[in-house]
Amino acid sequence: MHTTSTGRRTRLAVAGLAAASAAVALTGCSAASDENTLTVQFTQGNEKVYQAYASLFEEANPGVTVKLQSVSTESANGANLSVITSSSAPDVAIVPGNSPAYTSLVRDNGLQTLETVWELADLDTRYDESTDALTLYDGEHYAIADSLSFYSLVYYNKEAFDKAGITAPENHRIESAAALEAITTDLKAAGYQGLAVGGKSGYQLSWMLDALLPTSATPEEMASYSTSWNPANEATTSYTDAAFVDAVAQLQQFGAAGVFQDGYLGASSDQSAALFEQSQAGMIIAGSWYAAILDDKAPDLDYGWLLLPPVDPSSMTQVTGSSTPQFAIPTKAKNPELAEKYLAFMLSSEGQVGAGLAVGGYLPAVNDIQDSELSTLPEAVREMIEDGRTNGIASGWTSTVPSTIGQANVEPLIQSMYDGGATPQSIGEAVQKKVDEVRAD
Amino acid sequence: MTVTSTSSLPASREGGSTAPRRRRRRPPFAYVMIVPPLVVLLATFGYPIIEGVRISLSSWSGVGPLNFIGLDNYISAFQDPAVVQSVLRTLFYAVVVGLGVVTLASALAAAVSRGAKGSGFYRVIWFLPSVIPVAASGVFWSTAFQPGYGAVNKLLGFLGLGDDHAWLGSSETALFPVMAVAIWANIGFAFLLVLGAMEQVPVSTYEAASIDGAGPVRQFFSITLPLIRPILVVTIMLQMIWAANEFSLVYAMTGGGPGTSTSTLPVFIYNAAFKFTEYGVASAMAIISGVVLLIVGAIGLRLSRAKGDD
Repeated sequence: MHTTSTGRRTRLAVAGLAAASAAVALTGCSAASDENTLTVQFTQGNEKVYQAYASLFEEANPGVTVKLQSVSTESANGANLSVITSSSAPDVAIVPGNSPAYTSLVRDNGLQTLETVWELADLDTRYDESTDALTLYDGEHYAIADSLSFYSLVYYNKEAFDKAGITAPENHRIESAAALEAITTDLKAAGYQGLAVGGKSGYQLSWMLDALLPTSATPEEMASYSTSWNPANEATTSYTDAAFVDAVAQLQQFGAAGVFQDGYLGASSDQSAALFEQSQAGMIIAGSWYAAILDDKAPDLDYGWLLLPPVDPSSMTQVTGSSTPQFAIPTKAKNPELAEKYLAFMLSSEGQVGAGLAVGGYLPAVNDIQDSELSTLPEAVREMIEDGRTNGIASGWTSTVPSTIGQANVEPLIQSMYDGGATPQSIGEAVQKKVDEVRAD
Repeated sequence: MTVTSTSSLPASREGGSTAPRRRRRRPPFAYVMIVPPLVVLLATFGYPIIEGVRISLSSWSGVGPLNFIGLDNYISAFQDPAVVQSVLRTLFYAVVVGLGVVTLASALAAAVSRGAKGSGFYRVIWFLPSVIPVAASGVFWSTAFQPGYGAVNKLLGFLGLGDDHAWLGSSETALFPVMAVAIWANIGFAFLLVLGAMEQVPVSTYEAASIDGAGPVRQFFSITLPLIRPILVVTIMLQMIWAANEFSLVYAMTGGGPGTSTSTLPVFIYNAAFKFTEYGVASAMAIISGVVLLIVGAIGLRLSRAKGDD
């Protein structure tokens, strides 16, 4: 007699599917949020600092657990959008304030307002006007800036300068483009490369534009450049005006004069940093955070810092500051009230000093941190802070405008210019075209 | 006692039975087992394609609802000189890398298949680049091509050819090191495919050719290549498709620059989506790229079948 096992196999298959479904359901149950658990994103590479924030918050709030999620810079502007607007949204999300991701999220109600954080942390008083302005969108606050940084600084190798017979200016300011060219010529004669820059980094070339533009434009023009992309604001300047074009032209002059290292357009920021750290380049473009890195990676390298020469000789280059907001609370956060407490804590004196300053060497985003707390910072950075207080801090253009107009847009254009494929005027026209498109949207 | 057979098959099938063969009925269980892989296929392949097409017909910044705009993204893609240049650049890249890989792989396989000394060692060595992660290769070679301190320039300097070549820093030359590295990275897989095909050619064929006075080179071009042509066609086609879809290596070595001089279509699509949050435009370009490669693949398959039938 032939006995079929089809019925048995079918039953087994159904049982297997049922078991799988149960496992999925259980997984879903276990992933349900705990009201004392906070999920916080941070940018990759900064684990120590944000672990410090998390640990201090947990100490101050017994019973609360902070789970950290690392997000790469690339995905912060792209793939992370899907996470922030999904049912798996973190409680505190990374949203670079100058990225199209930020404006998209705000427009589509993906982020909640942070007025409670402003009250808890007294940010109306403790944030500088410029930082507060950066965090505003349509009159509301949607993100916080947890630190201030200076960038587009020129670090120089003191020993290289001595060998080349170069005297660094005491006021940290390179007088003119011709002076920078002369420094480079002397360095090369002494066997060093000039100014190391990551030409393919996607940001360092436009950093230099951020340093030069305020020396070419009036404060009113700068204010317009920073806000004219928003159709709610009146555009009183054009990127084809001399203020912008002249700044780009000075960048072009640097390239034509051979100020940068050989092959700079094909070099990453890490490769240019390696040149400087190995004392093969006499100078490098970097930010205030780089001082701590240098102290760690090249402790024997004696360095100083300078600022790029102004476009208008009667103007003075200021340190370029960025307090780009980057932490926000998604509308779909599971613990928004706890997230608000966390953000307020990040901006408290305890958070700013205990985590940002002590662990990351970050400059405080708030203005009420005592100078005595800043003593842990490298000497060069303390000098930069003092210089900023004395001579003012310029807001970086690419830190302020959406990157579809700023960094992401202008960086390949500048590369193209250095390669002979664009002119300062054509770059101005391309940027203005982008602004017109954004305003028309 | 009479035993009655319950089988539906004829009692005897010996001696060339003329009874029609009855079709076996598949048990229902077989259909149940097809369902899970079908679901996986639809979820991982079908659904993303449908969504991709939907996004390509929309204006979308990555959040919020899709804003249907019809074929505007496709029209603007074809009208954008940067897109057209990227497509041409990608075709150039794919053809050079595809042909380069197969040409070199064939030469290496020919040497190994004829029993050159150390052939066992070479089989391993020439396959090694294929197992290195592409992104790691890109980072390594990006440094190797740096002027002054890069390994390639150091070697050239040692040979008296100068050590300050900044190929990656010029739009005129940046794509060539990338193509060279792509060929190096992909040669291993093609080498194994071509070698396998070459080793299927009967030795007696070569012996007969030798008797007729054909030397190794003549044998290679007149016997080996024609006989392995179907494999060569398929390998070229696959290498071209993979090269056209290559993102990691190009992005790691040049980021698509200087300017946009090495922005192949995958890099262009990536920038459109994740730097400019123009997901609709990016999807449209991805769909166009997919259709073109589908046509290339179909042509290649047809060619390989036609040659195989010969």
